[in-house]
Amino acid sequence: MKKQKALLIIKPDGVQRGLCGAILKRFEKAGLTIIGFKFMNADASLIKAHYPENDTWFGKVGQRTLSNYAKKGLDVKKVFGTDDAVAIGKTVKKWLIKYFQESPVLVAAVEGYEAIEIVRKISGNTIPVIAAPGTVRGDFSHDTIDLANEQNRPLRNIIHASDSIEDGEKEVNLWFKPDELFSYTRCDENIMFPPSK
Amino acid sequence: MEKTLIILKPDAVKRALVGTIIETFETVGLKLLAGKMLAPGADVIKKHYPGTPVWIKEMGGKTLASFKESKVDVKEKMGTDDPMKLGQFVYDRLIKYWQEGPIIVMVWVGPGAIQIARKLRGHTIPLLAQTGSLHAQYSFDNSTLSSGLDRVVKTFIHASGSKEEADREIAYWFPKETFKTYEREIDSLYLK
Repeated sequence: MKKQKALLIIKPDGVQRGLCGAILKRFEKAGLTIIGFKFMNADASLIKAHYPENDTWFGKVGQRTLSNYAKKGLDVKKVFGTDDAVAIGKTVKKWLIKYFQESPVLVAAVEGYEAIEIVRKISGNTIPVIAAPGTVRGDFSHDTIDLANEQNRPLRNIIHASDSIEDGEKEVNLWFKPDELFSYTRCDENIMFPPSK
Repeated sequence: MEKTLIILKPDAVKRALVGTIIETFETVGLKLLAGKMLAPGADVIKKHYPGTPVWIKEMGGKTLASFKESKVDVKEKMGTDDPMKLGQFVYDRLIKYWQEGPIIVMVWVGPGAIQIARKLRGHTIPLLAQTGSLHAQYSFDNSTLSSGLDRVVKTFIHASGSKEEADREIAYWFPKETFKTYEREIDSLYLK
């Protein structure tokens, strides 16, 4: 079985509240190996490249916003100046770029078996108010979609964790150059996964 | 505001103590300013230390003292009691130790950062580190054990010892960094 790579980003709300160590610790304790680590100011172009730049993604994000507004009976046009899903998606991306630049971020590449599923599980639901206790978002945040919408900003949910095997590879390679990634064996690796005899 | 250099050595990384150590510095209120993982070669590690004859001799002197303290015959264990030779022995093995795996180099900033980081880290030799410090909490290593195994004491956290040392080390490991600061949650309570 091959190991997977996943990217973790502790976003400015996590960094500014001094939660980097407390969060990173959880992934290490689960047995993932940190193969890349940097604390950095991300420039707009990097964050722009981190999120998809196509109408399918914009539409998906916009649609999510539209249905949330509809559910609450809020006027989407008042906030976004439009009710076009793609246009709304583009605005949300602009908000995200701003959010990621409020302070430096801690970027970590982790590796392990089923790493994607593990990082999703530990991070919890992307909407903090729904995220289960015991997850990073459930334990360290309680932002809600309603409040975020009211304040014209994206959800502040502490951490980014790669969504799929493809995203994991793509994101790790976007944020790290090949010579910034390392391969080593954790001292407990052979106890967790004994080599086959 | 004072800056200090912290290095998590290979055993800290391999034991997955990165988050735990960062948490300790963060909780006290120090601010992380820069950080990166790397696997430097011998020549790069070598220049982290002053490496002058005076410094080598001083290292040898420290080794002598710690043997004396633990009542071990240094000549029997190391084949010499010449501080210069002992110092060179330690220097060579330090470089070997640093290459056991990747390391994480960080810059932290805060009022009295150098002293605070040193206090939280504790005595260089884990056996002698004060209860509650990171070196005490996460290691039992000592010089008798390490010399018997032909290695240095695994001082798994490096923390700059003085303002001069911090300046030199930060410039060495982060030559291009501009160190942009940012707001931490406690700033408004203590720094304004």
